[in-house]
Amino acid sequence: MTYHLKPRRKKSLLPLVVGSIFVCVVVGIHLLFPRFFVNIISFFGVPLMRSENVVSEGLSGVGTVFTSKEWLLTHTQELEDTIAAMKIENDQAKLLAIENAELKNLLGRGATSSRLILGAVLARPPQTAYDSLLIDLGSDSGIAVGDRVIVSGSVPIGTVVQVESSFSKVVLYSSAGESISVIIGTSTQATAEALGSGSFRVKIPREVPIVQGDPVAIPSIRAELFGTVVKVDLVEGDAFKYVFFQNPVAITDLRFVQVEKLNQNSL
Amino acid sequence: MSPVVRTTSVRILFDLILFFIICTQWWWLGVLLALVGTFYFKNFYELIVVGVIIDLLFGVPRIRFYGFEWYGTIISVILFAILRFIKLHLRHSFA
Repeated sequence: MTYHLKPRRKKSLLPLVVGSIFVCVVVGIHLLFPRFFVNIISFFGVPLMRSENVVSEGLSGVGTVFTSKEWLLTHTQELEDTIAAMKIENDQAKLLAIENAELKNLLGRGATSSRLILGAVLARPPQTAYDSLLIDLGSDSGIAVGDRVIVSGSVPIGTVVQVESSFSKVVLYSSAGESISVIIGTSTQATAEALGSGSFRVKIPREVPIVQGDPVAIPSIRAELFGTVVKVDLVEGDAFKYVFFQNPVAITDLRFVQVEKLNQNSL
Repeated sequence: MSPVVRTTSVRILFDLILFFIICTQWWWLGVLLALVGTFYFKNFYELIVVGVIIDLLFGVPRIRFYGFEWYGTIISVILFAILRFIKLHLRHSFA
């Protein structure tokens, strides 16, 4: 048998050259027109996200077809009892808020005026990769970088960091690696370390009296609930303890948020 | 239909499904699918594109990384290089 010697083929550099040119062109376009690729991707991606939300909402009731009537009746009664109790608490909170506003007025610190713009959440964790939110408000709606995002009119959850024409990206305060100053209870000031998905951790001296259920707020003239203490971790022999608190809002179930636009004269 | 046309059609369909999943479902599902595609298709550069798309759609500048927001792209390039190396040394590849 005769074996013919095959000449060694020289590896072609053409794919490498073409690839390098392609990468250079892409990087060049991105540097010259930073919003070019974002606009292209969002042109197709944002409508897909909107349609997915619509379909999810439509299908959310399908599961109830297979649920027993007895369970539904019991569950409905429990929910109605909970709503009734929460209504009473809500009314008491409203009375306290009115009293708080009157006292501030007396002391020369009137209510801050701000405008809330309602927006729908297009994507939320864990769908988003970086513990961020995509909302359907953009520069067309008057949104700007630095605007605060709140839920239910008073719970702050994040800040707008990027604005496109029809949507914006919001970094959550609870994004892993972020930190924020908080007040636990009535006077314990501390820096909270974000753990992701609405959870935070604070390291405070052991002797500070913090218990489960204590409210957490952001230092401000306005009383804004930021979280509730869910766990206090004491380590034997350590001079400090770890307090874990959670946003009262379920970030993974968020459907609507409000972007706060402070008026010029507000504090 | 020739095998080349069939493979290309399958790949285009796969890419469209990948994009749909990244936009509407969990981002990591899209990444997993892209990893599967890396082993199934030849020169699956779409893995890098997946990283770029995730950064474009969901990337935010982070203070602790001095405003850098292209982690997905960097990670996908590294993953592509590693998987390409692994694939070359596997006995069998499908495409």
